[in-house]
Amino acid sequence: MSNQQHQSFEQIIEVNKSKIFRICRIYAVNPIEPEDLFQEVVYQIWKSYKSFKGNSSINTWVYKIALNVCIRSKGKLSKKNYKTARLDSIQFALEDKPKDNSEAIKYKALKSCISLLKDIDRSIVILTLEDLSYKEISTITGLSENHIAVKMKRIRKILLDCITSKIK
Amino acid sequence: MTSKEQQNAWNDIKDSWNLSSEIGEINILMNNLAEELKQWASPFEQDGMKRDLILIKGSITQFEKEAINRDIAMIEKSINKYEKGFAKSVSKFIIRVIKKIISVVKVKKD
Repeated sequence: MSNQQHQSFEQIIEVNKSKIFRICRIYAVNPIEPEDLFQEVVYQIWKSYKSFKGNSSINTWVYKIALNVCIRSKGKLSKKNYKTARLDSIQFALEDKPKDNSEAIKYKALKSCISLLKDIDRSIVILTLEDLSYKEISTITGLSENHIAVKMKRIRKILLDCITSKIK
Repeated sequence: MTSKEQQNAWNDIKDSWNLSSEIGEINILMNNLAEELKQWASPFEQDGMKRDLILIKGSITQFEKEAINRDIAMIEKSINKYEKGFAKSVSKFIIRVIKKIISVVKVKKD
């Protein structure tokens, strides 16, 4: 990778780290931690950057990689005696206990309800929550915009009903 | 739920979603990251390779077993053939010897 690509790769990670972490956090299932998925996503972005042809925006490209890594993580790693080496260059300073308990409860309900969705529906709702347009979601998922709109109407209802029942 | 309630609930979900990355800090040391990634072995890829190796080893064992079984069958076939041939030769020899003994005894009697 040349120096110019080095710079761009670093910018990509810095600009997108929060969104990558949100996606990793929703997909991480014990014992796999969001930090494990995060560094895997960073690694895959680094690997793929050289061959990135700019057919899509960097934004959608990053989302695509993050989702692919997280979806594949489900059965990928053997969970028995699971341990992973952490990159020294990525330092996580995360809070053990949440500041706001009500927010933690809401997030737990959200995560639980999203996990009940099928993979494709999960991707669609995550990308919608990330404020992507249906056009961008279509680029990432391969579904038509109309299909996404129809699915999203149904997913919203399912999610709202599920979360409401969990919080109440 | 009215549509306004639904919209409020959805906005609430979006807020929870956006806040989900604000549980701490992620500091990336850019100077070292690329170098470290070059040497880092992705656990996903390692795990994939391990599973592939187990599959290959399992396949080789089966292949070896089958090859050995084929060799044994071939050897058994050869042995059977040889045994049959040997037994035939031995019987023929014994018959010849007996015939000779009989002819010698006949001559002596005469």
